[in-house]
Amino acid sequence: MRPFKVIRPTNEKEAMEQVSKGNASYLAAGTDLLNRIKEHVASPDSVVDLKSLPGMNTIEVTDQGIWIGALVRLSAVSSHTDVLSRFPAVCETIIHAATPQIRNMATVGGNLCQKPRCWYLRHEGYSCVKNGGTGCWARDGENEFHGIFDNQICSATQPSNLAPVLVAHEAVIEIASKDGVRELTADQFFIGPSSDPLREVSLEEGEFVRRVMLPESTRAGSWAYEEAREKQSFDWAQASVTLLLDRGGRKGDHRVVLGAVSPAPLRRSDIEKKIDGSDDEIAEASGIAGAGATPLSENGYKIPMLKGLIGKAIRSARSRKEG
Amino acid sequence: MHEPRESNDKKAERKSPSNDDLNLVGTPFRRVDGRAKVTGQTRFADDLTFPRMVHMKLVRSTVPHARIVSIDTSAAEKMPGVLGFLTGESMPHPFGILPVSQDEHALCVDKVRFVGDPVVAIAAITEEQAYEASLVVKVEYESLETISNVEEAISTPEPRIHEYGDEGNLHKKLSMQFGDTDAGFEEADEIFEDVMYFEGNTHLPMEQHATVALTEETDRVTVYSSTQTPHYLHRSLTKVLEIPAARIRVIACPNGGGFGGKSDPFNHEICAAKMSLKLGRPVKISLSREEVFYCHRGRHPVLMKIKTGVKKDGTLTSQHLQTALDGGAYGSYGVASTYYTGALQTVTYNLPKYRFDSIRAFTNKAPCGPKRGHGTPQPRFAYEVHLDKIAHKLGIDPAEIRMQQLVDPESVTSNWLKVGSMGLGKCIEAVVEGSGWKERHGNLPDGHGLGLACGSYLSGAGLPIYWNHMPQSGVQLQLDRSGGVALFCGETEIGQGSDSVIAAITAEVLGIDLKDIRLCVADTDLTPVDLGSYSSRVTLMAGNAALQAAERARDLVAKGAAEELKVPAKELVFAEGRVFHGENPDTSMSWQDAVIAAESRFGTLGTTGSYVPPRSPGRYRGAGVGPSPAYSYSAAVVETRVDRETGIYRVEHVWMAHDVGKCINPAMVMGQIEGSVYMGLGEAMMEEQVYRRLPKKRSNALVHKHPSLLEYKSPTFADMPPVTSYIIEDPDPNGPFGAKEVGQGPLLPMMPAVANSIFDAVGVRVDQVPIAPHMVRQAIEAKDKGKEGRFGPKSFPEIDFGTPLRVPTPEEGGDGKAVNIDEAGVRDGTGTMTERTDAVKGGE
Repeated sequence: MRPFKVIRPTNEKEAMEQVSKGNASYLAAGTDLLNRIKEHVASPDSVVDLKSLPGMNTIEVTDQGIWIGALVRLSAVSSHTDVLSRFPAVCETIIHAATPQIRNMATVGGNLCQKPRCWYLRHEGYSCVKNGGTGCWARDGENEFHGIFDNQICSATQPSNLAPVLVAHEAVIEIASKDGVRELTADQFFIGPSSDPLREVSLEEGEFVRRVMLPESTRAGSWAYEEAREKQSFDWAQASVTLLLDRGGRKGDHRVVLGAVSPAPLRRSDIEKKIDGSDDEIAEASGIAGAGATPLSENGYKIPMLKGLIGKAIRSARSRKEG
Repeated sequence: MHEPRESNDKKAERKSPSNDDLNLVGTPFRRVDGRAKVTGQTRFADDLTFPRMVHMKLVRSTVPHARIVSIDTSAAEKMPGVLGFLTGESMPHPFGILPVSQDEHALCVDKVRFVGDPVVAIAAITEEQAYEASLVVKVEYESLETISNVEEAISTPEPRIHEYGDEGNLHKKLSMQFGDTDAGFEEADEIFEDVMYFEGNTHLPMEQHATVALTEETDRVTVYSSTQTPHYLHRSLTKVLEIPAARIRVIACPNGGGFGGKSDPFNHEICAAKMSLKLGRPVKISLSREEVFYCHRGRHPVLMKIKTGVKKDGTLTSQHLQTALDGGAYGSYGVASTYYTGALQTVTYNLPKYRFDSIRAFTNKAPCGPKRGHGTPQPRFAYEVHLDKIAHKLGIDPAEIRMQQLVDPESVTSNWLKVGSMGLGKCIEAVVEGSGWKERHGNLPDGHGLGLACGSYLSGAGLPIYWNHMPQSGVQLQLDRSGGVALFCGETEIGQGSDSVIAAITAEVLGIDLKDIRLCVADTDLTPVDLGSYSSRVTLMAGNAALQAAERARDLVAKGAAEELKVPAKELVFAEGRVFHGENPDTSMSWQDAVIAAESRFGTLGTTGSYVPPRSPGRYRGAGVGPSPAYSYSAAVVETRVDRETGIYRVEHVWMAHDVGKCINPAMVMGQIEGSVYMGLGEAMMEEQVYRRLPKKRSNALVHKHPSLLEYKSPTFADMPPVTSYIIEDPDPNGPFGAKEVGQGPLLPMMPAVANSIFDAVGVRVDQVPIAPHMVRQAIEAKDKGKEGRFGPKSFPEIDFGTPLRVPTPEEGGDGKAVNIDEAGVRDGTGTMTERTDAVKGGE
C-alpha cells in the first residue's frame, strides 16, 4: 500500500484547510478508503482524520428526532435503545450491512460517503465518467450487480445500505461547510450522475457530514426491510426494499425506497399508492416493480427479484402491524 | 501389505493382550502439532527471519498475452535499499510439475501469458523498498491476441499460447472407449442427456505463500517454503538453478492450508533461491493475497455433456461423457486433471460401457491445476445431478437407484480400475436414515427440499508424477537408549494432520506414548523422500511406510528384550510403554530398557520403511490416471430452504457419511469431513475464480474479477449449517490398519447434493455451480411461464476428439490393453503424458 501522511485536526476549520491542501482525503474509520488505497484507485498523499474532531461521536435524543453523529459506529446505532424503539428499520438495515467486525469500525458518515462498488470504477486501469473520463464500461461490459434504473450515464449503484432508509425517513443530513453548517434532506443529499457524475453525495469541496437526524414526524406505523444478496452471511445487496407504513401516524403515508438498483436511493411513489390495504395490494405493488427499468445484459434478474422483495416487505410489514 | 486388524468387538473376547490390539489408533487423540498451532508457536515460512535477510518482490505482467519488448530497471536501481534484480534470461530452463508440461519459467523470458505472470524480481533491504522499486520498473509489451475460454481456444489456433500441445491452443485432447458403448445405448430403454457447467474456483488457504532462501557457500542453497511438495520443488530447483540436487535443501514449513494450491513448484520459490545465490544473503518473499489469486492452480472451469443409457428399472447400460477444461496459461497438473474429469466415473455405480472424451485448452488466465478433488468434482457434479434427474423421471427413489447398482468390492471397473473395499452402500444407508430421507424426500412443504449425492476419491495416485521404480513414501526411525524415537519422513503437514497420522501409527506399533516420538519431516536433506501432500496419499502411503519401519523396529527391539526376558520374541507384546509376555504380563520390562537391551546387542538402532502402490490392471495409454491403492466413498443428504420469490436459499443441514476404511483419529476425520462440507458449500453456492475481458479498445485483456478476499465470495461461519458426520469403516487391505483417505472425498457430494435439494424444494434445476439466487429465481420464473424450469448451459461445442482408443472391458474379456493403437494414432512426443503412459505401456 502506498504510504500517506495522517493529519489529526483539532477543529473543523483546520480539517477543511488541511483537506484542501494538495492531494488529501478525509478519513473516518477507513473501511472503504483504505481498501481503495490498497486497490490503487485512491492515492492520497495525506488523510485528514476526522476522528480527532470533538462532538461527532454521540447520539442525541430529542422530541424532534434522534441526532446521530457522523462518527458514531454502525454497531452503536443498531444497538441504541432509542433508535431501536423509534426507528427500527434503520437498525435492521444496518445489521444487513457488512460484517459484525466492520460494523464495529465503520461510521455513519463514512457509510453515506463510500464510493460505489462498481468493479470498473474500482480497477486502476479504467477511466470512466465517474472518475473524470467518459462513458460507462459496465453498460456494454459486465453488469450483473449494476443498476437497472437511471443507468444511462453511469450504471453503478449507491452502495450505502443506510441510504434508502434515510430517504424513507426524510432524514436531515447536517454538513460542515466553509460557510458554517448547512442541511440537506436525504433525498437531496444522494445524487445521481445527471447532477454530477463525479459525486454520489451532494458534498462540495472540503465539506463533510457532521450528523444525521431521524425526524420523529416520520416514525413508521409499521415497516420492513428486505434485501437480496448472493452470500447470505455478508455481501453487498443486489436489490433491497425499504418500506415504511403510515408514517407519523398518518394513514396511507407510506414510503417505498429501492436500494442497489440505481445510482441514488429510488423512492417509488407509484408503488406506495398501490399499498392500500386491498386484498391484491401485493400483486398490484410488486407487479409494477420493473416500471421504468432499463436492465442491462446481465442484470435483468433484478426485476423479478424486486417483485419478490416487495411482496415479502408488504407481508412482513403487515404482519408486524398485526402482531 | 497389511491385513486389516480385527474389530474392537472381537478383540474384547480374547483373553491375553496382543500386538494386534489397538490402543491409540482409532481414538480421538490430541494432534501432535495442535498445541503449537493454537499457541502461535508453529513457524510458518513467513515467520522465519535470518540475519542479513533481504526482501523480494515480483513485478508481474499487467497484460494477459504479449511479447516482452523491453525491460527498464534504471529508475528502480536508484531507489533506496534496492540490492538486485533478476530477469528471465538468468533462468532459461523451463520447469513444471509434470514432465510433459515443462512450460513455465521462473521469470518470463520473451512472452507473458496472463495478468500476474512474473517478469522481474527485485530485492531490497525492506519489503516496502522492494515494493516501491517494483512500481517504477518499466516493461514494454507488444500485445498478442488473447484467449478467454475453451470456445475461443478452439476457434483461435494461432497465435499459440505455447509452442507445444496436441493442436493449436488445445493442450490436451483425448478419447477413450471402454467396451461397446453403442451396443450399451441400444440395450437402454431410455437415454438421458445433460449439459452442465462447473465454474472455476480457487483454494483460498489462510496462509499466503511465502519462501525464504539461504545460501551457504556459493553453490549450496536452502529453501524454506510453504509448499505441499518439497520433493518436486527440489527437482525443479535443481533443473532451473543448474545445481546438483545434493546441494539444494528444501524444507517445507507447515502449510497454513494448501488444498492443492501449493502443490506446484512456483516461480517465486525459484527466484528466491536464485536471488539468494546472487546476493549471498537470505532472501524472503511473502506473496500478497492478490498474488495468491494469480498463482491459482485451482479448479478448472469445465463444461460437460453427459449421456447415459438406462433400463426402466434404473440399471445403467452405457455412458458417454465429454468434458472441456479451461486450463489457463500453463500446463501445471492439467494433463492429469483432464484424465481425472473422466477416470473416476466408474467406481461408484456399475457402468458396464463407458466412453470419455476430453480437451484442455490454454487460455490467458491464471493457470488451473489441482484443487481438493482434482478434476473429479466437476464430472461428479454432472453425474450425480444427471442421476437425480434419471431417478425422478423413472419414478425411482434417488437413494435406491444408487443402492441397486453399487460397484462390488474387490472388483475391476469397465475402465480397469481395481476397487478394494467399498463402503458406499453403508454411507448411503447412514445419511438416508439420519436425514429421514424415506419419509421426507419429496414430501416436504414447498420451498423445503432434500438432495442426495455421492462421491469417491483416491487414496493416493497409483503412479508418481515422474516415472521411477523407487518408493513413493519412505520413513526412517532412529531409536536410542533415551527411549525416544526419532521419525524421519518427507511428508508435509499442511493442516490435514499427516504428522499426527504417521506418529500415531508408529506409536501404536511400538506401544509407546505419542510424546516419545520426535518428528523430523519434509526436509530433503534429512528425511526419506515422500512425494508430497497431494492426491490424498499421505495416510495410506506414508502411513504404510511408517507401519513397515515401526514393525521392523519392534522386531529388532523384541529380539533384544526376548533375550533379557527369556521368552520367545514372537510372544512379546508392546503396549503402554512396556514390553511384556502376552500370556504372562508380569514378565515385562520398560520400553526404554528394551531399547537398551537391543542397542547393547545390535549397536545403533534404526529401521526404514517404504511404500510402493500395487500395480493397476489397466495397460492402455492413459491408464496411469485413476488407479489408486484404495478408494474412499462418501454420501451426503443436504436439506435446503428456498425462497421462491427471490431465489435466495439456505442450506439448513448436511448429513455426510464417509467410508474412511479405518479411522486413525476420528476427531481428525470429522474435521476433514466438516471442512469438506464447508469448502463444498462454497463451491456450490458462491465461489468463482472468474475473469473480465476488457473491451476491444482497451486491449481486450483479461483481468481477474476480484483478486481479493473482500469480493471473492466464500462462506463464513455464519453460512455454515449444522453437519451430522458419519464415519463408515470398511477397512481396505491396502491401507495401514485398513485406513483410506478423507481429505478430499467428502467434498464431492456437496455440490450435486445442493443442486438436487433445490430441485426437491422448488422443482427447478440449476445445472451449473456456483448456484446464485438469481439463477434459481430465473429457473422458477421460466417454469411459471410454462417453459423448462432450468438454468444452465445450453449446448456443448462441436469438438473433434479424434478416434477413441478402444479398450475392451473386463466383462468383454479384455486384457486391459487397447485394441486399436494404430488406428487411434498414438500422439507421441510433446503434449502427451509420455512418462505416465510409459509406466503402463510396460505391459504392452
